[in-house]
Amino acid sequence: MSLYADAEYPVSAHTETLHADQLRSFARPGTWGTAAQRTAIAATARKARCDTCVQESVGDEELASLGNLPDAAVRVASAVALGGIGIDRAFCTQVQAEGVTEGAYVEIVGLVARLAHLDVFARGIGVPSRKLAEPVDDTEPSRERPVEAKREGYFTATVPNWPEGGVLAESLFGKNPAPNILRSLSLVPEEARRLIAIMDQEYFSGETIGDFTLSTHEALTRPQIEIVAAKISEYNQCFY
Amino acid sequence: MEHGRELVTFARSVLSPDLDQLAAARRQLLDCMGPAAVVSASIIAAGFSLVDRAANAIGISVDEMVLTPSKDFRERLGINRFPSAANTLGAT
Repeated sequence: MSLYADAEYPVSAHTETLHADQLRSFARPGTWGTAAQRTAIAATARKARCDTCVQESVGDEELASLGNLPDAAVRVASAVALGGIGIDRAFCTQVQAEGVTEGAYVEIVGLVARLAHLDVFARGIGVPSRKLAEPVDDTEPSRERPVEAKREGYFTATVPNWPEGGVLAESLFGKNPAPNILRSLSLVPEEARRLIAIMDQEYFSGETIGDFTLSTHEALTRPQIEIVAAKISEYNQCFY
Repeated sequence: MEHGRELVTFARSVLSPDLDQLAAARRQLLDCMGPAAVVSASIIAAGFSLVDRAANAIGISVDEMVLTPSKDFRERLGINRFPSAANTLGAT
Protein backbone atom coordinates (compact mmCIF):
# COMPACT_ATOMS: atom_id res chain seq x y z
CA MET A 1 0.00 0.00 0.00
CA SER A 2 1.28 3.48 -0.81
CA LEU A 3 2.37 5.76 1.99
CA TYR A 4 -0.42 8.31 1.50
CA ALA A 5 -3.23 6.01 0.34
CA ASP A 6 -5.54 7.71 2.85
CA ALA A 7 -4.94 11.22 1.45
CA GLU A 8 -7.77 13.09 -0.28
CA TYR A 9 -5.22 15.03 -2.32
CA PRO A 10 -3.12 13.91 -5.30
CA VAL A 11 0.28 12.99 -3.86
CA SER A 12 2.63 11.92 -6.66
CA ALA A 13 4.32 8.53 -6.71
CA HIS A 14 7.63 10.43 -6.78
CA THR A 15 6.78 12.13 -3.48
CA GLU A 16 5.53 8.89 -1.92
CA THR A 17 8.76 7.09 -2.85
CA LEU A 18 10.94 9.86 -1.41
CA HIS A 19 8.96 10.11 1.81
CA ALA A 20 8.75 6.33 2.33
CA ASP A 21 12.52 6.11 2.00
CA GLN A 22 12.98 8.94 4.51
CA LEU A 23 10.62 7.26 6.96
CA ARG A 24 12.44 3.92 6.69
CA SER A 25 15.79 5.60 7.30
CA PHE A 26 14.87 6.44 10.90
CA ALA A 27 14.68 2.73 11.80
CA ARG A 28 18.06 1.90 10.25
CA PRO A 29 21.58 2.31 11.61
CA GLY A 30 23.18 5.65 10.77
CA THR A 31 26.75 6.91 10.85
CA TRP A 32 26.67 7.68 14.57
CA GLY A 33 23.49 6.12 15.95
CA THR A 34 22.21 2.57 16.09
CA ALA A 35 18.80 1.76 14.62
CA ALA A 36 17.35 1.68 18.16
CA GLN A 37 18.90 5.05 19.06
CA ARG A 38 17.70 6.67 15.83
CA THR A 39 14.18 5.33 16.32
CA ALA A 40 14.24 6.65 19.88
CA ILE A 41 15.45 10.06 18.70
CA ALA A 42 12.59 10.26 16.19
CA ALA A 43 10.04 9.24 18.83
CA THR A 44 11.51 11.75 21.29
CA ALA A 45 11.15 14.49 18.69
CA ARG A 46 7.54 13.52 18.05
CA LYS A 47 6.83 13.50 21.78
CA ALA A 48 8.24 17.03 22.12
CA ARG A 49 5.96 18.25 19.32
CA CYS A 50 2.91 16.44 20.71
CA ASP A 51 3.59 17.77 24.23
CA THR A 52 3.53 21.32 22.87
CA CYS A 53 0.37 20.63 20.84
CA VAL A 54 1.89 21.41 17.44
CA GLN A 55 1.26 17.83 16.39
CA GLU A 56 -1.16 15.04 17.21
CA SER A 57 0.05 11.73 18.67
CA VAL A 58 -0.11 8.61 16.52
CA GLY A 59 0.80 6.43 19.49
CA ASP A 60 4.48 5.76 18.74
CA GLU A 61 6.01 7.80 21.56
CA GLU A 62 6.82 4.64 23.53
CA LEU A 63 9.62 4.01 21.02
CA ALA A 64 11.47 6.87 22.74
CA SER A 65 12.54 4.47 25.48
CA LEU A 66 14.25 2.07 23.06
CA GLY A 67 17.67 3.62 22.71
CA ASN A 68 18.43 4.46 26.35
CA LEU A 69 19.26 7.98 25.20
CA PRO A 70 21.42 10.26 27.33
CA ASP A 71 19.69 13.38 28.60
CA ALA A 72 21.80 15.62 26.35
CA ALA A 73 20.64 13.74 23.23
CA VAL A 74 17.03 14.09 24.36
CA ARG A 75 17.56 17.85 24.78
CA VAL A 76 18.99 18.15 21.26
CA ALA A 77 16.14 16.15 19.70
CA SER A 78 13.51 18.15 21.58
CA ALA A 79 15.07 21.54 20.79
CA VAL A 80 15.37 20.76 17.07
CA ALA A 81 11.86 19.28 16.97
CA LEU A 82 10.52 22.65 18.16
CA GLY A 83 12.39 24.57 15.47
CA GLY A 84 15.87 24.92 16.92
CA ILE A 85 15.09 28.58 17.54
CA GLY A 86 17.02 28.95 20.79
CA ILE A 87 20.00 26.83 19.80
CA ASP A 88 23.29 28.66 19.92
CA ARG A 89 26.98 27.79 20.05
CA ALA A 90 26.88 27.47 23.85
CA PHE A 91 24.08 24.87 23.66
CA CYS A 92 25.98 22.89 21.05
CA THR A 93 29.19 23.02 23.10
CA GLN A 94 27.36 22.03 26.28
CA VAL A 95 25.68 18.93 24.86
CA GLN A 96 29.01 17.82 23.42
CA ALA A 97 30.60 18.27 26.83
CA GLU A 98 27.86 15.97 28.17
CA GLY A 99 28.76 13.23 25.70
CA VAL A 100 26.92 13.85 22.41
CA THR A 101 29.75 13.74 19.88
CA GLU A 102 29.87 16.38 17.16
CA GLY A 103 28.94 13.78 14.53
CA ALA A 104 26.06 12.46 16.62
CA TYR A 105 24.81 16.03 17.13
CA VAL A 106 24.68 16.61 13.37
CA GLU A 107 22.98 13.25 12.79
CA ILE A 108 20.31 14.04 15.39
CA VAL A 109 19.72 17.47 13.82
CA GLY A 110 19.35 15.93 10.37
CA LEU A 111 17.11 13.11 11.49
CA VAL A 112 14.78 15.30 13.53
CA ALA A 113 14.62 17.95 10.81
CA ARG A 114 13.70 15.29 8.24
CA LEU A 115 11.03 13.94 10.56
CA ALA A 116 9.55 17.44 10.88
CA HIS A 117 9.50 17.55 7.08
CA LEU A 118 7.34 14.41 6.94
CA ASP A 119 5.09 15.46 9.81
CA VAL A 120 4.41 18.96 8.48
CA PHE A 121 3.60 17.52 5.05
CA ALA A 122 1.15 15.03 6.57
CA ARG A 123 -0.50 17.82 8.55
CA GLY A 124 -0.72 19.95 5.43
CA ILE A 125 -2.59 17.35 3.41
CA GLY A 126 -4.76 16.39 6.38
CA VAL A 127 -3.56 12.89 7.24
CA PRO A 128 -2.03 11.64 10.53
CA SER A 129 1.75 11.48 10.79
CA ARG A 130 3.02 8.20 9.42
CA LYS A 131 3.89 5.83 12.27
CA LEU A 132 7.56 5.20 13.05
CA ALA A 133 8.79 1.68 12.40
CA GLU A 134 10.54 -0.56 14.91
CA PRO A 135 14.34 -0.60 14.47
CA VAL A 136 15.35 -3.07 11.78
CA ASP A 137 18.77 -4.34 12.87
CA ASP A 138 21.53 -3.94 15.43
CA THR A 139 24.44 -3.17 13.11
CA GLU A 140 26.96 -0.89 14.78
CA PRO A 141 27.27 2.58 13.22
CA SER A 142 30.52 3.30 11.37
CA ARG A 143 31.25 6.53 13.30
CA GLU A 144 33.31 7.74 10.35
CA ARG A 145 34.08 11.44 10.30
CA PRO A 146 34.97 12.81 6.86
CA VAL A 147 38.62 13.87 6.76
CA GLU A 148 37.61 16.75 4.48
CA ALA A 149 35.48 18.40 7.22
CA LYS A 150 36.83 21.62 8.68
CA ARG A 151 35.83 24.56 10.85
CA GLU A 152 34.06 27.19 8.76
CA GLY A 153 32.66 29.28 11.60
CA TYR A 154 29.47 27.28 12.23
CA PHE A 155 28.60 25.34 15.40
CA THR A 156 29.89 22.12 13.82
CA ALA A 157 32.48 21.28 11.17
CA THR A 158 31.35 21.08 7.53
CA VAL A 159 32.72 19.84 4.23
CA PRO A 160 33.88 22.81 2.12
CA ASN A 161 32.82 23.24 -1.48
CA TRP A 162 34.80 21.60 -4.27
CA PRO A 163 37.76 21.66 -4.90
CA GLU A 164 38.74 22.19 -1.24
CA GLY A 165 36.29 19.50 -0.10
CA GLY A 166 37.72 17.01 -2.58
CA VAL A 167 35.94 13.99 -3.99
CA LEU A 168 33.41 13.97 -1.15
CA ALA A 169 32.36 17.56 -1.88
CA GLU A 170 32.05 16.77 -5.58
CA SER A 171 29.86 13.74 -4.82
CA LEU A 172 27.62 15.77 -2.49
CA PHE A 173 27.44 19.19 -4.13
CA GLY A 174 29.01 18.88 -7.58
CA LYS A 175 31.69 21.30 -8.72
CA ASN A 176 29.71 24.53 -8.37
CA PRO A 177 29.64 26.29 -5.00
CA ALA A 178 26.71 24.97 -2.94
CA PRO A 179 24.58 27.24 -0.72
CA ASN A 180 25.54 26.90 2.94
CA ILE A 181 22.27 25.15 3.77
CA LEU A 182 23.16 22.23 1.51
CA ARG A 183 26.51 21.92 3.30
CA SER A 184 25.07 22.33 6.81
CA LEU A 185 24.83 18.59 7.64
CA SER A 186 27.89 17.50 5.65
CA LEU A 187 29.84 16.34 8.73
CA VAL A 188 27.48 13.37 8.30
CA PRO A 189 27.48 12.92 4.51
CA GLU A 190 24.46 10.60 4.56
CA GLU A 191 22.36 13.31 6.23
CA ALA A 192 23.61 15.92 3.75
CA ARG A 193 22.69 13.61 0.85
CA ARG A 194 19.19 13.16 2.22
CA LEU A 195 18.64 16.89 2.76
CA ILE A 196 19.89 17.62 -0.77
CA ALA A 197 17.66 14.89 -2.25
CA ILE A 198 14.59 16.43 -0.61
CA MET A 199 15.42 19.99 -1.67
CA ASP A 200 16.32 18.94 -5.22
CA GLN A 201 13.02 17.13 -5.67
CA GLU A 202 10.67 19.36 -3.71
CA TYR A 203 12.14 22.88 -3.95
CA PHE A 204 15.03 23.72 -6.31
CA SER A 205 18.41 22.19 -7.03
CA GLY A 206 21.64 24.13 -6.61
CA GLU A 207 21.60 24.75 -10.37
CA THR A 208 18.00 26.00 -10.62
CA ILE A 209 17.55 27.96 -7.40
CA GLY A 210 18.83 31.20 -8.94
CA ASP A 211 16.35 31.15 -11.83
CA PHE A 212 13.45 33.19 -10.48
CA THR A 213 11.39 32.62 -13.61
CA LEU A 214 11.26 28.90 -12.91
CA SER A 215 8.69 27.06 -10.81
CA THR A 216 9.14 23.44 -9.84
CA HIS A 217 5.48 23.06 -8.87
CA GLU A 218 2.82 23.21 -11.56
CA ALA A 219 0.24 24.49 -9.10
CA LEU A 220 2.36 27.33 -7.68
CA THR A 221 4.36 30.16 -9.25
CA ARG A 222 7.82 30.95 -7.91
CA PRO A 223 6.53 33.93 -5.86
CA GLN A 224 3.78 31.71 -4.43
CA ILE A 225 6.38 29.11 -3.43
CA GLU A 226 8.50 31.77 -1.77
CA ILE A 227 5.63 33.32 0.21
CA VAL A 228 4.86 29.92 1.80
CA ALA A 229 8.57 29.37 2.50
CA ALA A 230 8.90 32.83 4.04
CA LYS A 231 5.96 32.32 6.42
CA ILE A 232 7.39 29.00 7.64
CA SER A 233 10.84 30.54 8.18
CA GLU A 234 9.28 33.50 9.99
CA TYR A 235 7.55 31.06 12.37
CA ASN A 236 10.84 29.22 12.95
CA GLN A 237 12.67 32.56 13.34
CA CYS A 238 15.22 31.36 10.84
CA PHE A 239 17.48 34.19 9.68
CA TYR A 240 18.95 32.00 6.95
CA MET B 1 0.21 38.20 -5.61
CA GLU B 2 -2.67 36.01 -6.73
CA HIS B 3 -4.02 33.90 -3.83
CA GLY B 4 -1.25 35.23 -1.58
CA ARG B 5 -3.66 35.65 1.32
CA GLU B 6 -4.84 32.03 1.13
CA LEU B 7 -1.27 30.73 0.89
CA VAL B 8 -0.12 32.79 3.87
CA THR B 9 -3.11 31.66 5.94
CA PHE B 10 -2.42 28.04 5.04
CA ALA B 11 1.31 28.32 5.87
CA ARG B 12 0.51 29.90 9.23
CA SER B 13 -2.19 27.32 9.98
CA VAL B 14 -0.15 24.22 9.13
CA LEU B 15 2.08 25.01 12.13
CA SER B 16 -0.77 25.97 14.43
CA PRO B 17 -2.20 23.66 17.13
CA ASP B 18 -5.70 24.61 15.96
CA LEU B 19 -6.88 21.81 13.64
CA ASP B 20 -10.15 23.59 12.84
CA GLN B 21 -8.21 26.63 11.67
CA LEU B 22 -5.99 24.38 9.54
CA ALA B 23 -8.98 22.59 8.00
CA ALA B 24 -10.57 25.94 7.12
CA ALA B 25 -7.32 27.24 5.59
CA ARG B 26 -6.92 24.04 3.58
CA ARG B 27 -10.49 24.28 2.31
CA GLN B 28 -9.97 27.92 1.34
CA LEU B 29 -6.82 27.05 -0.59
CA LEU B 30 -8.54 24.10 -2.25
CA ASP B 31 -11.45 26.25 -3.35
CA CYS B 32 -9.34 28.92 -4.99
CA MET B 33 -6.32 26.98 -6.31
CA GLY B 34 -7.31 23.32 -6.44
CA PRO B 35 -6.03 20.10 -4.83
CA ALA B 36 -2.56 20.15 -6.43
CA ALA B 37 -1.88 23.50 -4.76
CA VAL B 38 -2.71 22.02 -1.34
CA VAL B 39 -0.11 19.30 -1.97
CA SER B 40 2.49 21.73 -3.32
CA ALA B 41 2.02 24.23 -0.49
CA SER B 42 2.35 21.35 2.00
CA ILE B 43 5.56 20.22 0.30
CA ILE B 44 7.08 23.69 0.54
CA ALA B 45 5.98 24.08 4.18
CA ALA B 46 7.55 20.69 4.90
CA GLY B 47 10.81 21.49 3.12
CA PHE B 48 11.30 24.75 4.99
CA SER B 49 10.47 23.04 8.28
CA LEU B 50 13.49 20.89 7.48
CA VAL B 51 15.98 23.52 6.33
CA ASP B 52 15.04 26.03 9.05
CA ARG B 53 15.89 23.44 11.69
CA ALA B 54 19.17 22.51 10.04
CA ALA B 55 20.14 26.17 9.63
CA ASN B 56 19.22 27.13 13.21
CA ALA B 57 20.84 24.10 14.85
CA ILE B 58 24.10 24.13 12.85
CA GLY B 59 24.44 27.90 12.99
CA ILE B 60 25.16 28.45 9.31
CA SER B 61 25.52 31.99 8.02
CA VAL B 62 23.61 33.52 5.13
CA ASP B 63 25.42 33.22 1.82
CA GLU B 64 27.16 36.41 0.71
CA MET B 65 25.15 36.61 -2.53
CA VAL B 66 21.92 36.92 -0.48
CA LEU B 67 23.15 39.00 2.43
CA THR B 68 23.61 42.36 0.73
CA PRO B 69 20.46 42.31 -1.45
CA SER B 70 18.33 41.44 1.59
CA LYS B 71 19.74 44.15 3.86
CA ASP B 72 16.89 46.68 3.54
CA PHE B 73 13.95 44.32 4.06
CA ARG B 74 15.66 42.26 6.78
CA GLU B 75 15.80 45.34 8.97
CA ARG B 76 12.31 46.47 8.01
CA LEU B 77 10.68 43.09 8.72
CA GLY B 78 12.49 42.49 12.00
CA ILE B 79 14.42 39.49 10.69
CA ASN B 80 17.65 40.88 12.16
CA ARG B 81 16.15 40.33 15.62
CA PHE B 82 15.81 36.54 15.19
CA PRO B 83 18.22 34.70 17.54
CA SER B 84 19.84 32.98 14.55
CA ALA B 85 20.74 36.38 13.04
CA ALA B 86 23.81 36.31 15.28
CA ASN B 87 25.18 33.42 13.23
CA THR B 88 25.56 35.81 10.30
CA LEU B 89 25.55 39.36 11.66
CA GLY B 90 27.62 38.52 14.70
CA ALA B 91 30.41 37.42 12.45
CA THR B 92 30.39 40.40 10.08
